[in-house]
Amino acid sequence: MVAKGIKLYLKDSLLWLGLAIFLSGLLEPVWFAPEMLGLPVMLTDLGLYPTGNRIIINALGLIVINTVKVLPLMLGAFILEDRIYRAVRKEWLRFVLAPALVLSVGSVSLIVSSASFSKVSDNLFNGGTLIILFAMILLQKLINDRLSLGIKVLLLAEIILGVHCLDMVPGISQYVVGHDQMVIRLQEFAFLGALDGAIGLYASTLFIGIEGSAIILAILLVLETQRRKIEQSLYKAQLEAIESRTSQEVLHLVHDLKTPLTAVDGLISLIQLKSNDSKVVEYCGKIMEATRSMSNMVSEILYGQELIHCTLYEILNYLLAVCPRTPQLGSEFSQEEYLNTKILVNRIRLTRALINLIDNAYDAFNDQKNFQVVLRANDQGDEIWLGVEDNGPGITSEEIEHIWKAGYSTKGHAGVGLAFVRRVAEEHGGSVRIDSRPGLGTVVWIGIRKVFA
Amino acid sequence: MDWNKEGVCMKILIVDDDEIIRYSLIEICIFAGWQATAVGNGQEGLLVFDKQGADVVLVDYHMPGMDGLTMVKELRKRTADVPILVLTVDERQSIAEKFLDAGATDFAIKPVLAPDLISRIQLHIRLVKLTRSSSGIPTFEEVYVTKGISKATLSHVTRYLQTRKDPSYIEDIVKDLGLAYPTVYRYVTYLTQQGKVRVIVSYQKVGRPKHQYQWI
Repeated sequence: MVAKGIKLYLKDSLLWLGLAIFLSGLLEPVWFAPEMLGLPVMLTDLGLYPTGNRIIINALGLIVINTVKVLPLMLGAFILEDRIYRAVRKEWLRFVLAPALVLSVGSVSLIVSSASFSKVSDNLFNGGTLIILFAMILLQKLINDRLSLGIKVLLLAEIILGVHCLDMVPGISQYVVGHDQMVIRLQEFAFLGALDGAIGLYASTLFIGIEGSAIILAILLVLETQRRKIEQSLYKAQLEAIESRTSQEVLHLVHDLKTPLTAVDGLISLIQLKSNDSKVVEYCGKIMEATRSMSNMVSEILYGQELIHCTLYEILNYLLAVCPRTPQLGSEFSQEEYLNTKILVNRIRLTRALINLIDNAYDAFNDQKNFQVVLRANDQGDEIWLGVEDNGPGITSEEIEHIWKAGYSTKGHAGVGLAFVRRVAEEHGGSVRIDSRPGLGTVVWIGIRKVFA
Repeated sequence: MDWNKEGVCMKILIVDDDEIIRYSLIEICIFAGWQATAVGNGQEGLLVFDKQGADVVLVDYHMPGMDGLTMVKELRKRTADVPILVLTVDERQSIAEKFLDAGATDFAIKPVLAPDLISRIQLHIRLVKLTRSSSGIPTFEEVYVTKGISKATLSHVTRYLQTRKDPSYIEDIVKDLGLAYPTVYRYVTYLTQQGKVRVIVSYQKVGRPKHQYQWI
């Protein structure tokens, strides 16, 4: 269980991303300083010109900055928790992991006695963090897999922003953000400028607005994902209903087609019994062979996916018997091993596909001398490749791309051939390949898996 | 060939919605020396059965209105041991099991050939005669060992397997017994479950491994 978990850890790129973000949050005091954003300058500036506008704008700015300060750590912890839980799936992790990660960072900073690190612990051990951790746990427990990690992270970022709006609400601020120097100083300015109440009001309203929108957004997204899932399963069910209806129709069709054949067989067998004429008996036998063959073909055609064991030799025989324009046979076909190759195929469909290719090959004739269409075979280990080769004008690389589309044709009549051929190849677990050189000719190969004893 | 060995004026009831099938089956029965009545649907079939009875009933699987399965069930309410043969194109064991559970005796897989049908009907007439006691109309319990397994057919299969020293493929059992494949499969499986027959898996050169069955 643990081993499996560890293997998943190593493969999970999001886990590494989360770890990276988390570590950048952990090491924040190292690379981030408020000086970078010019905050102290801003405050000094404020001290000199404490206009209402400046105070309010700085208040908003501080909210954003405080949010951003805390984002890497929180989001990193969130992502880590999400991926670890996903790998290990223990319920208690949901409650414990994120707080553990975050608070351990705080404790580490306490131990590391450096001025900048101590600020981290200051920033962490306060009510705001508690709310954020609570929100993290709630987010995961309520939404879990229903939304993607990316969306959950965005929601969390929004929630954190909302929480930090409370930084500027007098009375609550110290519980939320603790002893943040910037906040305290800005509050003082606000108080002096008789704006603290107003700022507090706007900040609380912002808090309610942001958290409210986050909640509503979460609900809407979950509902939307649910709706999409229901739509998908409805679509699938419709497809299945159509398929089962078609298979019902197929069964009816089989029954309808086989009825006259049954009647023929029944009466012919009766004639055979009644007749004293040996030739009549013989003819009846032949007729019944023919109807039996018809009956088998009906089954094969309608039960499209039916695969039967046969050899290349049998396919060849059948192909040559039904093909309107017979190809020549490559020299491979004189070899016993080729002829004895065992394959599991739908004889009808495979033959139809090959006839398609042969037709195409013959249609490629362009007044050449010695025009030939040859049937080829190529043993490729666990696959056997059957090919139709012609020495016609070949297919240009632009045309090759189009050939696969059903309906494309250079011949003036509708082409369905190659898309169908590829379908048949796929039904047999194989594939189609075209080798063509303009001026030299074309070979189209169908690969089919061989069957071993 | 004397088709009348088993008795004069055997009454065969044929239920099939196709006119030409009815025609060919009637002709086959006439050739065999039996009296045949053919109807096009289940309701009519039941009426005929109630009025004049039958010694063997042939029921088509695929019928509009009352389908074959319902017909078999209704017939079994009226008689416990008259052989009911189901005419079907569908060879699936799952469908066959449903019919056997409902009380069908055997199957005639379409296309039905005259000699095969005649010998199958004769077989079942014979089997029924063997197990019919002199006390008139037998009850369901007397005829059936359990659902889908009739004593008559079971003893027929049992006697055959007991005489076989070597394990046999189902196809061979089918050929020798004169019963339809799904029927043989059902009875052999039943005997295997009862511990009377063991299964031997035989790996083929090509295709799925086949089972062989041997009396223990």
